[in-house]
Amino acid sequence: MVIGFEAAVETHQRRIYTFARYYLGKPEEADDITQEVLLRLWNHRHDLDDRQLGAWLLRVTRNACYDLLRKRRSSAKVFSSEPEEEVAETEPAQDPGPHAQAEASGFRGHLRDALEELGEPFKSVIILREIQGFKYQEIADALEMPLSSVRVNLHRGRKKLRERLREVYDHAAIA
Amino acid sequence: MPRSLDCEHILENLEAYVDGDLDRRSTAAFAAHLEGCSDCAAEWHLATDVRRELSTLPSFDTPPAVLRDVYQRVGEERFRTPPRNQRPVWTAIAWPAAAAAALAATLVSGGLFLSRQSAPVPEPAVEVAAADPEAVARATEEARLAFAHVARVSRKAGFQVRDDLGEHLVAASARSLTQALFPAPEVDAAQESMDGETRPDRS
Repeated sequence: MVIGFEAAVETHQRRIYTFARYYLGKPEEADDITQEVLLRLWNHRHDLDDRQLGAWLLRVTRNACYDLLRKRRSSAKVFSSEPEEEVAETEPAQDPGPHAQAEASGFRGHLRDALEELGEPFKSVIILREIQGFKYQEIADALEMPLSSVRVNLHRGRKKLRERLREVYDHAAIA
Repeated sequence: MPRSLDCEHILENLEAYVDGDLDRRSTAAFAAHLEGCSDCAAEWHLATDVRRELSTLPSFDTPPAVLRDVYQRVGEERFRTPPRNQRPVWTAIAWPAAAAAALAATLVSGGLFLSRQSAPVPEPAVEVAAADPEAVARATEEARLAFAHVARVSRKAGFQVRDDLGEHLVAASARSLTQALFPAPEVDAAQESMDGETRPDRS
């Protein structure tokens, strides 16, 4: 890594933290993941090429988030008979607080809830593309998937979000 | 009311339509269908809302406290174990060698100073070896011990120190000091050459 640790942190910290915030939905967990990823960057700083750095950081961040969710899920002893891809990755927050409750009452709140419940690889692709604005090729490199799969997963992920939101609104209309 | 096959197709490919990924013919067919189908049009509106809303969600800077923790931990580690492959070889031995050289230089210059001064020395700033062979031997041993300590501390700090470096420096200095303090009698060079022997080491 030629650019130096501090410069790399300056360049990438926002991307790492934002991804973790949306992936995990809990700021304190995003703090922990960001710290973990940056310390791993420090430990691997001599092995990394500047050109690979962005993709490497995103991949490490995604994997760390995924591992944390798995731990959270196993500790909560949540079982599901659905296929792995379809399994919800997060549980809803137990006590969202007044601000979160107010926000959750709107479209954006429902959308964020739906995003948190989304499975892999859809969640990662949607966060990277729709929220963080990465190019298809950058996402393909980071998630190590073919370019065509990025587009397919993006569309399938948004379709799932749409269907989830439709359920919420239909349920609300019935109630 | 069950949806027609056309509606299934539309809903399956709605995201591609929203992204403008369809060819011109498919795009025209989609548009025509949406004009005549309120259910699919509602889904299309929802799909565009989802996409727009996602793109307006904010990014976040890492909280300063998190970055402070990272830099602090990195700083501690940098102090604890300096990255070896970032340092050229000469820096790895430079400061222990310099310390030992300084020690040896003190030994040598001190000895020389004492041996060449005829007038009494007022108040030496540093206690140096007395000008007799036993004192030189003691000083040499102390220099060896001091260098061994420096080398041990250096290795603990992650530096690579050659095992024989201290011995070499101390022995060389001690030899110089001995030669300066107790000059050997002149040796017939021709005789020495014929004997095939070198001058005995007095250190």
